[in-house]
Amino acid sequence: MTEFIQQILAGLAAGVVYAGLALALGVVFQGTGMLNLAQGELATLSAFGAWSLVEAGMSFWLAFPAAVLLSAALGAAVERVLVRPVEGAGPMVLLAAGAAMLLGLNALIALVWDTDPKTFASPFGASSVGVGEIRLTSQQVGAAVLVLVTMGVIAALFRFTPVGLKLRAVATNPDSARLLGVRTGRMLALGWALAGAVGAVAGTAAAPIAGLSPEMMAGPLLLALAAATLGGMTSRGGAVVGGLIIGVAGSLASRYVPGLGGDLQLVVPFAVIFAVLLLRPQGLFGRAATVRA
Amino acid sequence: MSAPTTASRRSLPWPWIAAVVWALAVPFLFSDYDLLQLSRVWSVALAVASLNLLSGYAGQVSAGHGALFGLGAYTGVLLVGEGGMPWPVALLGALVLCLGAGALLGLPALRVDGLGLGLITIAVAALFPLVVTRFESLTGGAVGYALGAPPLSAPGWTGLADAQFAYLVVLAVCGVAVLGLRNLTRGRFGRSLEALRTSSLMAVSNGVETRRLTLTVFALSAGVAGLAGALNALALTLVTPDTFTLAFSLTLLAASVVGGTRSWAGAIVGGAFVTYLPQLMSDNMGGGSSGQWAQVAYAAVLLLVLYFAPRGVVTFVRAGLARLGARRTREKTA
Amino acid sequence: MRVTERVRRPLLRATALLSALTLAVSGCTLRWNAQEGTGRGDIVIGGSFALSGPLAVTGVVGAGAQAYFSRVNAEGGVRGRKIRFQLLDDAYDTSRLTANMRRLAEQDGATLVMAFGGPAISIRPYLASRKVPMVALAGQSPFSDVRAFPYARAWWPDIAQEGRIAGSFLKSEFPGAKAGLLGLNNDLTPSQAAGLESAGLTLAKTIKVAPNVVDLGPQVNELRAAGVDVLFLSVGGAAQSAVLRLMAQIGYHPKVMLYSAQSEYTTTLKPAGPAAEGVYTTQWAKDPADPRWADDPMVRQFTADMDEYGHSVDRDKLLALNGYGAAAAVVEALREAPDLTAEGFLESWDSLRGAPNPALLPDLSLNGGPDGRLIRTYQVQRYDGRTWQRENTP
Repeated sequence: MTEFIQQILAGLAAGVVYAGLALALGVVFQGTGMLNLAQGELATLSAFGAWSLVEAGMSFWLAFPAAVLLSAALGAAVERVLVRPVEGAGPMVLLAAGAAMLLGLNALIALVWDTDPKTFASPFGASSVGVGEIRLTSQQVGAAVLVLVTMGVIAALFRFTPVGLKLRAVATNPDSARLLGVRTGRMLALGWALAGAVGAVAGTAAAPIAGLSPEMMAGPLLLALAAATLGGMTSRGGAVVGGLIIGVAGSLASRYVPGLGGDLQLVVPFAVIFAVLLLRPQGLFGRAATVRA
Repeated sequence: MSAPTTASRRSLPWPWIAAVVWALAVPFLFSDYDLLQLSRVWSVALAVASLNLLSGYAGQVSAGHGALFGLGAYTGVLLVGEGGMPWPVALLGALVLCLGAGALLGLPALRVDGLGLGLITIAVAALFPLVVTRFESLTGGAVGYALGAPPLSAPGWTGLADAQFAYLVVLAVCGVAVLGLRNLTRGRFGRSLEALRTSSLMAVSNGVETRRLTLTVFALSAGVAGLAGALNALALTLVTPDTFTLAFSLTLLAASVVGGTRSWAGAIVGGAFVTYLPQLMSDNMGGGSSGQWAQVAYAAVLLLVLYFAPRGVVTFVRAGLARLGARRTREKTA
Repeated sequence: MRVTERVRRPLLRATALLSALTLAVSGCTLRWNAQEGTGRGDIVIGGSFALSGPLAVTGVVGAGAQAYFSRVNAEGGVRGRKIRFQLLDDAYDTSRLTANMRRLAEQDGATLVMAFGGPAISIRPYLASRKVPMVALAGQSPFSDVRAFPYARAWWPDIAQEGRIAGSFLKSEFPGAKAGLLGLNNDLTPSQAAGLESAGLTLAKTIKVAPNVVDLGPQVNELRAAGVDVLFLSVGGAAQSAVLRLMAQIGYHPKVMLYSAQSEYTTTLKPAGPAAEGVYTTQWAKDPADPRWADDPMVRQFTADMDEYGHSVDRDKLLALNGYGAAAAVVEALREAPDLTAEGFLESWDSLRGAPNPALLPDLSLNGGPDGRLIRTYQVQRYDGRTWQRENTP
């Protein structure tokens, strides 16, 4: 029983990171219609950025917001420079553009910071909290709080602010939004900026646990794709729930499903993708679009 | 290609004829190593062509063709190595098995499209190497499976070297398959696909059985991708799971876009692009981190191509030639 | 989208065709120009390593080898001939490795080739058919099968042997302990498990994970719940140190034995920090970042050479020194060889006796044998938080 609870907690702690990335994927997808395969690499870049600032002597609590802001700017810049020209060119071109950015960023990170793993000292200390053998490290708890607060802020921004209204308008119906005077281009860039910021939080939260390396987000990106599918690409709350479910499912399955084991852990989230897409393509919390002919 | 005429279906345009002559001359001009590389280009080009059928002509997305290519590769090599089959049987086996796998992969496409299909195929691509590694007793696990002797070895009477023979086999199979795909998309089947791609509602109202058509095109595309994989693996004489990662699937996708998803010549351009460019880059950049720089350059070139030629290099060049031709005529009349 | 009729002008056609041909030919070698073996001139040594991609961290062996060969050339070469080291990138993809090997063997006329890890296993039949020797920087047991693949040699000792030495140490040091193995789903883990068990150690738990899974919390929980108190750890990359940190933080303190190639300062000990204190490993090679070797003349020479030949970034890395040592072993065998043919090199490699090597621990030396390897000794070491200390082994 103790181990069961412990496995669920470990899954939740991992799921928080997937949730953050899933939210970033969803925000970009809603705006641009692009499945941004480079989202994980952007988050890795942010984490390395934060690490460099900390190494240069900055306090984590200054370096962290700085990295988030820089990542937002980078997100907007990527949209403007790299994505805008191919935005209307169809899903294959967009996927290919994402793949190209993934390759390029991955190599750039390896060039700048080398391929050795780095340690990101946890701003929450190296202790743990819990009862008996049921424990979470302070970093896992802190990271969860960090990501969940960020997601709350994003959700509030979408829901309660005029900018959020415009963002939602562009996502639901870009043409009528444009007719109503919303500057869609600016909103798309803003979406990418938000995604960059959320990704930065997820990356910086994951780094002290997993260690910094150019490959740190390769696995989590796949799981975030599953989480976004499960929760629904169009739902911000769904991304959170999806991420947590994927985290727990992976953790429990590798332990308790006979014959699966650690090496086939990825089967679970992908089985989830299959099931969700076939049974409820819009995800648990997404809305289906109706086609009028 | 909006109004295919009977003439265009029967006769091949001149660049194709030139290309065929050239391709046939190659094995007698270049070294064995170059022939291996070119065999790889041809087989990757065939996989890209199969992806073009799916995306460019049927309007479906796949980020998982690397897994189908890998399934064909493993089938081909295992049929020869474990089953003791001759290579034509192995190729056929790979084709048939992947036809079935493609039909299965097409099932979700009946319910989801675009993003959903992209996700499902990404999942297939990411899982394939893990599953192959797990079934070690059959597949050789992480180390892969190497054939003792090259399966595409030249029969004595031909007087050819093995590499020459292998190249010609790969060339012939790829050529026939691409030609088949080309003719297929220009006939009745092609027009049904065109209807499906533009609007499934319109296709239905025009009497096209969209469900059957979707499954058929998925099966065909997968079968050809598997055939390409088997050719590739038989030419290389080995298979390993590390070759068929998600990254490879994305490479195929990139190759398809680079050449142009609606161009068969583009498939060859794309295949050459992804096979030669990484190597060309790392050959021309010395130093310890040359590999990483090469990858950056590769990504940059890819983005530039997407930026300047989102409909593919071949379309881009054709349009350029057309402009050039128009200017010449103007100059002459002036 | 038919091209307009005007385009079909002879001049344009010719230009298009010509440029296509030029492009296609530019990278190729004509059939009658392809080299067959070396005659006189440079000794060509090929190397294909992961210089990019997810396992690029292993590519530094190429940098180390390059530095050594460059120094040999600066000192006049081997037997009056210069070494031309042809370093290629395979991104740890076996199809690129295969293409590279064919190029090195058929086009560049390499006298011998070097490669890294598991992918090198599959390439042995081809190299045997071309009679080109390969020196693999790999510990996998299949490389000991010299009889089946007479042209493949391994620079690293056999991993099964490492497992055996580690197993018998753990068994005698911690009698009655419950042992576990956490490794990757690759070809290393079976060799390691077999080695550990051949020493009489029973593995209560063996968990394999896929590479790229960095969060191994569930696996650590599983080991802890199973009561594993002696753990052989071989997950590599960033995960290796992450597991050590996680175990320390949640208060789970089994005795840990690290896989020798994943116990280095730059990738494991430094990122793990204080959590690495007290771990064990089996060693045969020096880690240039270990303060123990700060004054070691051979390591200083290595560092100087890395600086001299443009690889300063990698001079702290175990795998760089390892590649440097492999190159030194190759040069040693070439110097002692009866002639510079493939067979001459192999004969010389197998009959090296007591030769020194810059990468080896001080009291070890190179000794050839029927298994094609040069090193058969490991020393058990314990990390005291600053440096490795040798343990007494039974």
